[in-house]
Amino acid sequence: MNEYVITINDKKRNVTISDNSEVIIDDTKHHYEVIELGRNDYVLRIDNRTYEISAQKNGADEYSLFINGNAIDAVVRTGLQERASSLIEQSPEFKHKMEVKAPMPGMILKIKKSEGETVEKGDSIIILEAMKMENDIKSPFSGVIKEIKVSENNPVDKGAILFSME
Amino acid sequence: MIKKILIANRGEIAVRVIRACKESGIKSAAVYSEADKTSLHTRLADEAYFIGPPQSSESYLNKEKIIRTALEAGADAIHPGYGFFSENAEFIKMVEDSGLIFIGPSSSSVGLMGSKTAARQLMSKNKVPIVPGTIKAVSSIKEGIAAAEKITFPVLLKASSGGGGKGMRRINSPAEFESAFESTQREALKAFGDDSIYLEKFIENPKHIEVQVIADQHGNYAHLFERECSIQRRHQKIIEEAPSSFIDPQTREKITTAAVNAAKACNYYNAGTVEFLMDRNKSFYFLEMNTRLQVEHPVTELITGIDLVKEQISIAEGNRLSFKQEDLKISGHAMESRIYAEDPENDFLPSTGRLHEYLAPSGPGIRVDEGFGRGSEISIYYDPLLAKLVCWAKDRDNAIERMKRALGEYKIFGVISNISFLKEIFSHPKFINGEFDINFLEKDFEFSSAHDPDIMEAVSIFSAYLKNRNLNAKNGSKQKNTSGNNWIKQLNE
Repeated sequence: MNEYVITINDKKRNVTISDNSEVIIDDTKHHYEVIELGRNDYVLRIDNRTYEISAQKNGADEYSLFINGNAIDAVVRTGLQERASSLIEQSPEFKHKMEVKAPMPGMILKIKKSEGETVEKGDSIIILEAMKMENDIKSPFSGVIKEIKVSENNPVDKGAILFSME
Repeated sequence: MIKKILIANRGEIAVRVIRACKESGIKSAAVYSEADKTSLHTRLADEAYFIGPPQSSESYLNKEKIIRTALEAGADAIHPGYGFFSENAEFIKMVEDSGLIFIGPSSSSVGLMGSKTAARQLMSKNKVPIVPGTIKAVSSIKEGIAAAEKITFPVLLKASSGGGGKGMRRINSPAEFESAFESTQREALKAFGDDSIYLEKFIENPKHIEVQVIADQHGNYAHLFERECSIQRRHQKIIEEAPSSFIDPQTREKITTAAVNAAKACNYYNAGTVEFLMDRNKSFYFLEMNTRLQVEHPVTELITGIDLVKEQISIAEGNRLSFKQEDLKISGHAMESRIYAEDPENDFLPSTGRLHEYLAPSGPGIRVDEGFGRGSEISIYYDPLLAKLVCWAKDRDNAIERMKRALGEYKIFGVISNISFLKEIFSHPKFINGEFDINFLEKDFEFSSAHDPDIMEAVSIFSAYLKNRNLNAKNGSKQKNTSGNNWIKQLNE
């Protein structure tokens, strides 16, 4: 049995899984079965419940899943990786940083804050024009704008770094 | 006889028109931009013509290109769909002048109803009640404040050349008037190329009720009952239904008569929709007339059994209406959910990407009008409507259950959709009881986006399974285990 830590939206759960259809989650043992349908599609059975899942790998430890009508991203680490990761976060040199990326390609219409400015979570930082609409790119947490990497009236690709914060 | 139609549109409405063509033995010619190479309409049409870069101005909104392509394709007629050029009198005139048939009304009817102030003047002369307000553009702030005080605050400033819920601003008092007037003028100029604006009384918590009208070129007019379209977010319709659960037979008689009068007043022919606002007392007021086929036309088709697009083509050919008013009856109840590529957990930001998985629901009473399939690219260049999920049942309660069932079966993977948001609306007690108006989503509705604990458990177990398999495969491949290599290949897709 192998131990993993699954993180979904900041909530962590421990899952212990074996190859031969046994899994333990929240201290409860279940029977599971996976049927591969091909093209990243699967049928998952847990005891008497059945789910249809499409899965895409999103990086080394992250999967994007579409399950029974819900789109959910999950980060999966081994017990060892999880312990290493939390040690890094607790170290004094580790600063809570974030880069905000463009969720889709578009045009930078307006930059509303400047480098060095303190902002609250949810403040509008950049107006990105895409799909015939103006989209507000907001601050993910309260902090300071470190660097603004784009300029007004220039196009950006999906995933382009717009600004970084601390 | 129309033998070939060029469809000057894209997405689900292009597919809709193509389907009507196929069922009528008419050849369909589609147009597509660079961004629509993988869209469904290009695969379904008999012929597909490339018309240029993704920007609408250089493709779908290039009048000369569209007409030239129609002529080169040997089409007899152009169907404009909705949006784009469907209500552009200048384009319609160009089509008429080029010898092609325009599947829709005349350019003069469109021109008349396109100016909201001219339309209001026409309605007030033809026994169609209008929202109290000005019937000419407001020429000065002083004049505006006087007019507003006469109809009493709050009032709504609206662009004369506007529509679709854009270019509007609410004013609560004379003090707010000046700056609101100036910003609305600027917005109207930018969005519609015309800064003239007019005033309407702001009606509190109205319902949006519209009537489908249709007429042939021989002076026969009919209506196909009403639709209720009050579930809107930022003036964009999300859910529509027919008939309205709010309207009694007497009100239905009054409002459908008013709608037909509106169509007659502008010598209308082909399909159109007259939109009204209705207050709690069931008084209704003309809002605007949409001189084209509407997005939500399927709900009307399902309760009447009439194929509106086929009827449009037949009228354009010069035939009389294929039915009489007295033949039409309301059968059952139909509802439509607009499936948008947007993220309800993130302020409805549009979502783009490739549809890795797309499977629409089916089963009893389900109709899906879609523009995309597996592998289609959803891009930033156009509006985010993916599909319309429409259902029919014998009454409203059954239609709601059917819609919830169908939403649960919809598989869209690759872009984020508003399906979870829609599911919650259909479960909301006020929606179920019919106690909603156009402000329902803002006032009474809270999207919870919480995930079922069973789903979260399944996600956790499955993610662990994938990771476990991935790690085993890596270890396995070191020993040259061939089945392990297949797992790695699949995960790297």
